[in-house]
Amino acid sequence: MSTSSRVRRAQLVANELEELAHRVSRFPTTLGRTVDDVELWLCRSSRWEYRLEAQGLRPTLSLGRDRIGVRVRKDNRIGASSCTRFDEATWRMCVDRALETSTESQGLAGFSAPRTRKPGPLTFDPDLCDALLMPGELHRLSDALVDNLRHEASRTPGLSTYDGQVRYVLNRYVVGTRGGVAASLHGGLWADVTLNRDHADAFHVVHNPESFQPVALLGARTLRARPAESATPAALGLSGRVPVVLHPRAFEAILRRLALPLLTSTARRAGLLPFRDGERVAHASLTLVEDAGLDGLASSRHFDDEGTPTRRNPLVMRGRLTQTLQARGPSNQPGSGASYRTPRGSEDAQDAAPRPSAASIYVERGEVPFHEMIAGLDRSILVHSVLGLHAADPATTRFSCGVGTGLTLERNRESRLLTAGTWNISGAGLTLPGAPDGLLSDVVLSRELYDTGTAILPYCLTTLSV
Amino acid sequence: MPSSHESLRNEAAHRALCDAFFSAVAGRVVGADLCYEIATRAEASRELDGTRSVLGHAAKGGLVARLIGAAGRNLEVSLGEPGPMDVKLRVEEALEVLQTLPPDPSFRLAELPDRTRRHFGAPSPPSPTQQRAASRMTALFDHLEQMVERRAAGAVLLDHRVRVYTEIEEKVVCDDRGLWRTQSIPQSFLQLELLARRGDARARWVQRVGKLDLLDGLVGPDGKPKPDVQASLDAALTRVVELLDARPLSEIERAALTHVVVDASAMVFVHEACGHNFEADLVLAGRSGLFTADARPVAERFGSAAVRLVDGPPVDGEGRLQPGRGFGTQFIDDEGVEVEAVVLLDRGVPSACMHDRETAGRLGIRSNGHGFSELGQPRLVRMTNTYLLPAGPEHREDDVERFLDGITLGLWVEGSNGGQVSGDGMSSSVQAARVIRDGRLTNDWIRPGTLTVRTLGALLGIEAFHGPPVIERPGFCGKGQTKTVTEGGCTARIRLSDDFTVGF
Repeated sequence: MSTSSRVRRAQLVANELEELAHRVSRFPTTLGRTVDDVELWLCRSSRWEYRLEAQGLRPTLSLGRDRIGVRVRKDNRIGASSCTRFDEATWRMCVDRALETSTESQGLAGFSAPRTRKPGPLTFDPDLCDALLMPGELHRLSDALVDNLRHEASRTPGLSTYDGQVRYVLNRYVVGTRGGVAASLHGGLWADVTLNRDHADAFHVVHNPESFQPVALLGARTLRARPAESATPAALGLSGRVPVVLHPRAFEAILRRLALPLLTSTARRAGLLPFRDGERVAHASLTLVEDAGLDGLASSRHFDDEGTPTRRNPLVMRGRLTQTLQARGPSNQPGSGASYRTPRGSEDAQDAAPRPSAASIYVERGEVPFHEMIAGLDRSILVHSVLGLHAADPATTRFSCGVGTGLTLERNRESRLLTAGTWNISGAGLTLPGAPDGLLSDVVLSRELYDTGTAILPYCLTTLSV
Repeated sequence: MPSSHESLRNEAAHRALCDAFFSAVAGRVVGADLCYEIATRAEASRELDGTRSVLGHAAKGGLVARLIGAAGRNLEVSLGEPGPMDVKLRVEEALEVLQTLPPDPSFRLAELPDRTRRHFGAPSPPSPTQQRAASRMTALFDHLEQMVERRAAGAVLLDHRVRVYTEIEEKVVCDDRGLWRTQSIPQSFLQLELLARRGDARARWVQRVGKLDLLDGLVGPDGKPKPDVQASLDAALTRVVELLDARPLSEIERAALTHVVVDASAMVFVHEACGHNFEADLVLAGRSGLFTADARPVAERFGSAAVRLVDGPPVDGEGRLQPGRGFGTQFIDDEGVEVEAVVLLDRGVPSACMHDRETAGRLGIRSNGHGFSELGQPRLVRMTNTYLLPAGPEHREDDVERFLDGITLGLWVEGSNGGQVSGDGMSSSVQAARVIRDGRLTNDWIRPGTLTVRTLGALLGIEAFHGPPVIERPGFCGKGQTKTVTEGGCTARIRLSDDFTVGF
C-alpha cells in the first residue's frame, strides 16, 4: 500500500468526526421552540481485533456502533431517551418520547456547556491509526505475537496454554447543545496475553511507537520471570493479617471500586462519605488525583459526557480530602468536568444518565524504590490481579475477593506462585468512623510508577487479611 | 408459544435491511448469515441521594454478520445499526478485511437442525412507551420511598437506590439460503439496594426481581409492586436491618469451618466455576480449566456423585422443564438454533458442553443453541439459566435438621452480587451468612464475604441437597458483552477443602 493511501485512513477518520460533529451541531437548531433546551450525546466506537486461541487467530470486526443519548428541557421538566441509529428522524422521535416522559427538572438549568473549548489530551495519533488500519497489518502483528509464544512454548517447560487479544479501538465522542458542539477522537492499541490461563501481561499504546516489538514479545518476560514453584498461602503459613503489595492494576481495581465512588457529591449527599474537606481520609503519603487530561491514557478525555471541559481534580492531597467529583449543578454550575455515562458494571444501566465518576487517575509516587520497599519484609505477597470485587460494600468500603495471580515475595524477590482459587484477601478501603483501619490509612507507595492504560499508579504496600 | 406468522413490529423494514446486506455480499462470499436485534426499553433509577432519572424511551439495535470466504476464511463483523445505504459501505470494509485473512481449513458450521420459518415467543406487544411505563416507574419510586421510610424506625437510618427497566427484545436470524426466524421476548427487572445505618454500624442488601414479562409482571397500573414482588422487597428490608448486628468471622472460626451451605440465591459460584468452563468457545481456545483445547475433560469427574448441572430452560420441583420461565431464557439463539437444556454434569461426570454452530462444526457435532450476542456484537457461546440439582432423589433431603446433621461449624450463605472466573480459580460474592453450629442454623449473622474456589474441585465436596429448585435470581453475565442469565437450583451442602474456601 502506498504512503498516500495509508495517510488516507487517518484522514477519513478525521473527516468522519467532522461530519458527525456537523450533524450533531445542526440538530438542536432544527427543533425550534419544541424544546427550551436540548443536549445530544454521541459515542461511535469501532474495533478491529484478533483473538489468540489454541486454533490460531480469530478475527472480529466492529464497525461504527453508535450510542446516542438525548436530553431535553421544557417548562422546567427534563426528559431523556436514547437510540443507536445515526439518523435525524430517529433523534426527533427520541425528543418527542423524552418530552412525553419528562419529569421535574430537580434544579438543572440547561445544557449549554460546549461553548467553552480548551486543548485536550492527545489520545489520537494519526500515524498509529494509519499503521494499524492498513488491511492485514493488525493480523501481521498478532501473527508475530503468536509465533513468539509458540517459540517460547517449545522451549519453556510448564507453559501449556496461552491466549489473548490484539485490538485497535477507535472512539469518537460528540456533545451538541444550543451552546455549540464539542467533538474528540480517541484511538489506541491494546494487547494482552494470558499464560496458563492465569498469568497475564498487557500492553497499550496511544501514540505510534518507534517499534511494535514490545507487542510481539508480550508475555515472554512474564514467562521467564515466573517462579517454577507453586503453593497455597495456607501451606506457607501466610494467613491472618499479612503484608501485601498490590500491583498497580490491582491497586487501581480497588481504588475504582471502593474509594472513588465515595469521593463524589452524590455519595456525600447520601451520607456515605462522612468526611468534610480537609479531614484526613488516608495515609499522609497518599495523593490521589482525577485527571482526564493525562496524555497517553485511553481513558483521558477533552470534555466529559455533559460537554464540560475536563480538568485536574485533586481528590486527596497528602492524605486529606480536598474535594469530591460533582456533576453540573443548578444554574449551570460547571461541576468537576467528570460526569460520564459509564455503567458501574454489567448489571448497571447501559444508558445511564451522566453521573460523577473518575476518568484517568493518578497517585503520586512514593519515596522508596520497589526493591527497598520489599527488602524490609521477611515474607509478603504480591497481588497482580483480583477476581471481581463484587463483595465490595460502598456502605462500609469493606471488600473480600479472590486473587487471580499472586506470588510470594521472599528474600527480596518473586519466589513462589500462589495457586489461584485457594485464597482470598479482605479488608476495607477507607477508615470510616468506628471501623477498623482501611488499607489507604496504612500504605507505603513505590517510587516506580506504572501505566495501566487508564491510570498512573505506584505499587502499594499495605496490610490485608489473607 | 411459537406461531407461524410474522410477528415483529416493523418487520418489513427489518427485511429491507437484511436484503440490503445479502445483496451487498451476493457473489462475493461463499456463505453469510446475520442476526439483527432490536430492544425497546423504558428505564428509571433512583440514586441514594434521592435523585431520580427516567429514560422514557431507549431504542437500541445492532446487526452482526458472519462472512465466509474461500478456503474457510471467516469473519464475524458488527455493523452497528446502519441504514440500508450504510450497510453497503460497511460490508465493503468487512470484505476488504476478509480477503486479508489466511485460509482456515478447520472452519465449518454445524448445520441448522431445523430451518423452518418460524416466530418464537408471543407476537410483539406494545412498546414500553405505550405502556406508560415511565409514569408507573415514578409511582413505584414514590411507593418504595414510603415503604423504606416506614421501616426506618428509631435509630435505624435507611437509604436506598433503585433501578427498574422493562423491555421488548426482538430479533431476526437469517442467512443467504433463505432462513428467516424471529423471536420476541418481554423482560422486566427491579433492583433495590438498601443501606442501613445505626450509629457506626452499617449494612447493605441488594434485592433483585426479574420477570419474562412486561412491567405488568412487576407492578400494577398504579405502580404498586405485585404481591410476590412486595414480599421479596419486605424480606430485603428485614434482612438489611438484621445485618446491622452482623459480625466478622474470626480467624479461629474460619479455620474450624467444616461446611458451607449455599442457598439458591448465592449459586453464582456455579455459573463462574463450572458454567464458563463448559462454554465450547473457551474450551477450544484453550481457556477452560476443565477441558483441554481438543475438548477432552482434564479429570474423570468434576463433581460428587450427587451432582447434576444443567444449562437451559428451568425445571420445576418435579423436574419438568419450564420453557417460558427463567430470566436468562431465549427460545432460539442468535444463529437460529432452538435452545436446548444441556446436562453439563451427570452424577458429577462431564457429559456435554454448550455450543454454537461454529464450535459444534469444529467438533463435528450438532449445535445445542448457545450462541448469543449483545445487540449486534460478535456471537459467543453463552449460558442461559444454569442450575445445580441432585443427581437422584436419594441426594435430596427436605428435612432441614437431617440436612444439617453432622455439621459442627458451618455457614449458610445467601445472596450474591456477582463473581469472576480466571481459568483455574474463581471468586463470587456472598451478601450474608448465618452460622450453623452443631447441626442447627442460628441467627448469628456474618458480614458479606466471598467464596473462592479452585474450578477443578468446585463441586467435588457437595454432599447433599435440600428443598425444591429455585431458579429465579436474575443476573447479568459480562463475558465482554452483557447477557441476562439465571443461576440457581437446590440448596447445596458442601464440605470445605483446599479447593473451596471462604473469606469474610
